[in-house]
Amino acid sequence: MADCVYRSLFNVLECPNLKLKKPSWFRQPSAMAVFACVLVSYFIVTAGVIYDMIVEPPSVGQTVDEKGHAKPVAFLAYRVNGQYIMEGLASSFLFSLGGLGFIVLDKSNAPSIPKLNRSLLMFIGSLMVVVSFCMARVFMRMKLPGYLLS
Amino acid sequence: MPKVAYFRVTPERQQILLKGLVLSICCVLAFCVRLFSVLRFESVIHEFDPYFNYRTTKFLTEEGFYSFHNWFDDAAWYPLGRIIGGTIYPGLMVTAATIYKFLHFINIPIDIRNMCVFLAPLFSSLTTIVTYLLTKELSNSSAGLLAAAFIAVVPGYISRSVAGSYDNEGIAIFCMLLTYYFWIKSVKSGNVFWSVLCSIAYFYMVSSWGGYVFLINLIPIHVLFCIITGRFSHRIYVAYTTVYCVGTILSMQISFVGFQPVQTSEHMGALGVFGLCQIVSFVAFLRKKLSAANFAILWQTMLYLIGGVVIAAVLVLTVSGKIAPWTGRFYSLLDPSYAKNNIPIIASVSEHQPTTWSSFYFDLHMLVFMFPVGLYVCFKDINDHNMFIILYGVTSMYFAAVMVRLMLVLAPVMCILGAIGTNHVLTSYMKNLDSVQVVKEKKGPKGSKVDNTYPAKNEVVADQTYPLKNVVAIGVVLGLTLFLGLFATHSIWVTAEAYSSPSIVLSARSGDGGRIIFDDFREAYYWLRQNTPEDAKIMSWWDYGYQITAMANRTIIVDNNTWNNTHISRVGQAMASTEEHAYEIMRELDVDYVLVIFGGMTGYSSDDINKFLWMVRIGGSTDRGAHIKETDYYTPTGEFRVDSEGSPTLQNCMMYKMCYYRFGQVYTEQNQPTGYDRVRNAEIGNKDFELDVLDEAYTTEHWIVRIYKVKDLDNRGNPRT
Repeated sequence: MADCVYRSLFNVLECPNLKLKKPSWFRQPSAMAVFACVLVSYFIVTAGVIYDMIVEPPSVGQTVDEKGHAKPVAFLAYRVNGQYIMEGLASSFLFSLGGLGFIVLDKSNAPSIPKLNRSLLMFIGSLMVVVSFCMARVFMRMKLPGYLLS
Repeated sequence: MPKVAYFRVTPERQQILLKGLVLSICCVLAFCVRLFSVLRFESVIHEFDPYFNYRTTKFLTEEGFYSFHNWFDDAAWYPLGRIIGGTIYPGLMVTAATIYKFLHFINIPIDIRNMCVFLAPLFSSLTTIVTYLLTKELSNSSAGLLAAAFIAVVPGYISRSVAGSYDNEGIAIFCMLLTYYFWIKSVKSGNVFWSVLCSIAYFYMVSSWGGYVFLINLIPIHVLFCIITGRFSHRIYVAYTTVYCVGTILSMQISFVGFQPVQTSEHMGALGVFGLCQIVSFVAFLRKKLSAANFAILWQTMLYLIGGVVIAAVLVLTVSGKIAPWTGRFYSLLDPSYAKNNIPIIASVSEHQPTTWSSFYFDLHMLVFMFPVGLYVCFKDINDHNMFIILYGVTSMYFAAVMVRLMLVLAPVMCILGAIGTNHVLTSYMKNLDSVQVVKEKKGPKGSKVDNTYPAKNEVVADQTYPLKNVVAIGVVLGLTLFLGLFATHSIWVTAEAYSSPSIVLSARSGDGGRIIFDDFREAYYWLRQNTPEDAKIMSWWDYGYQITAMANRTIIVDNNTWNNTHISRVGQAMASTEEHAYEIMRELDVDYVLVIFGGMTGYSSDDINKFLWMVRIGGSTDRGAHIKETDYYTPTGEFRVDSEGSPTLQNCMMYKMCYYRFGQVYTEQNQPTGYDRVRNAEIGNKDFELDVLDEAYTTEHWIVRIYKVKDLDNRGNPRT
């Protein structure tokens, strides 16, 4: 009985011949590729980009000096919970640089690397680490003039 | 005599002793570093929310659990009242009351206030231990010790768990890390025992904080990623099925949560992954039993059928409203601009603002550098548990960027990943310290070299590709040690300077270096307690509600729970309207006293005039406040000014009059006229006025809190204004 209904139905309708396949270029990315994406998102996020989108601060601040000219101000001082866009990007660049420096140092400790490559990697790695640490501390001092002083 | 043999400590025992010693030092450190405010002021409860928790804990210890669970409070939100029993997370109060009862049982009569003040540091010490255990499961015990040391002092966690900050987060982080520890154990072992322990820890987490939603979404995301990357095994199946079933049933025992786990979108992800787990396991089972061709047919049919049914079901349930969509607070995490545009109350809380770079550096210091290193180490050899910590790190990083308050959730994972990274770098360079360059190339007669392929027995061959191996290793190790020391210094400085203020007691340095204490808040609340009738109703802005009920023990109109926007809007309308209009609203709400905070005399900048624009916005956001427009309170040029150029609407509204009554006759600073407001840095515009509907009842010593009594109706029915 139901058979007749279905048969008549399918005399009119035709089943589409669907051949759905997963596209061949859709491969699982390697672990290090995902890590690179995560690092880029870390850079964006620690720059305070979400704060920039909501509060919409200026790119740099402005102050007027003695002669009446407008001078740009890099850091929004005396407040930890406010920033300008450029200072956020600069600082998160330092954060990522420091992390990458340690990764370079780790890679340069591998067993068999040519001597020149190893020395270069070591030098660059240590430079990145030291520069980012010191600069981050200097940035914080510029932002909070009383940092580590009272 | 072989006495020495009994006391010889084997290397394994030495290790255990050393680990135990380091862990105990971390625990003691975690407790002590949070005591700055107790040492500087006294053992007092901080901020606003902890006062509500303190009041409920006191009620619990006095009345018992059943009265607490069924408590309807008529002293708040007059005339609506508040069902406290069903709208709080009882874990914190029950924990404090249990420890209090236990201490009394063994005859240590600690006061309930001291119990509440010191509960958070106690749980920080326990968090240190759990962090060690968790990191040991994820990596190894040396990373665990580093993580324990990091989390003992990291400012991001200290900010919400100082002594005196008696709030849900104090115990929530402990519960969260405990749940994660048991989850990792159950994933690694596949035992039902660990999974049930995980569910019980999850129940404790649900009872303590609303942030449990993060857990019930992170664990399914972890399982989902394991399925996608092909790591799904019977262990994960057993672990997740047990945790979801037992955990959800336990979580529904909390009245506040109720049936949300099966009704709201925030919990649907967990249900979806639960279903997916069953399907994947069933498919794997069928694949073993059926032949390849049969299996292919069955697979395709079931895929389309089940996919279609699920999508249709979700659509129908969402459209018909049976599954509630994501609610305000959690939705604003996914779309940060939602709160700013639609819900002013959520947008006005300063903790809900997005995070800046300096907050990251301030709260985490060295860990922002070591976080990518830890991620790199985890990505290098991915396995089930590494994937979990990666997901936790990435998701909490995003959420901490959306809301400053959630930096608390990011701090533990920063400590764990930072410790894994630091441990990896230190270990690999420490190994280099052992190799000593002994052999120098022996030169024979000109043109020939001695064969160095077989070095002498006790000599190590120098690595030709690695110059100065020892020196570099010493440099890196010393450098990292220096950074760790700087981290400790920074953390202690931040704790001492920024996160140890009780905010109910203020202090400032006077001109000659001495300290002035501003205890105006408690002065005002105790005046209310002792000089007003027991059934007096106090109107103030919602920030101070919890403190008034806890310390003054009087009925209030609105408090920090902010569950009824219309009621708060009514109070906002009263504050922002003229005296005549406000009098109607105050008579409607039966208000006897009004309380305002004024910082113009002392320079205290978190006063009600600075919050006034939020009162205007919230007051104007409902129907009955349609006459209140924010632009009326600005000057024609768009500035918010309190001096003579300010808008007349502002200068005649009730908040302005209450704050600046009699202020026009007071000298606040040298070389400035009378009535100089030290916060807005302006001389006030409307100086000489009288109040028609209010009487000044009390002004504290430094004019920070001002209390006014609402006048009764006139005897002969004339209007007051």
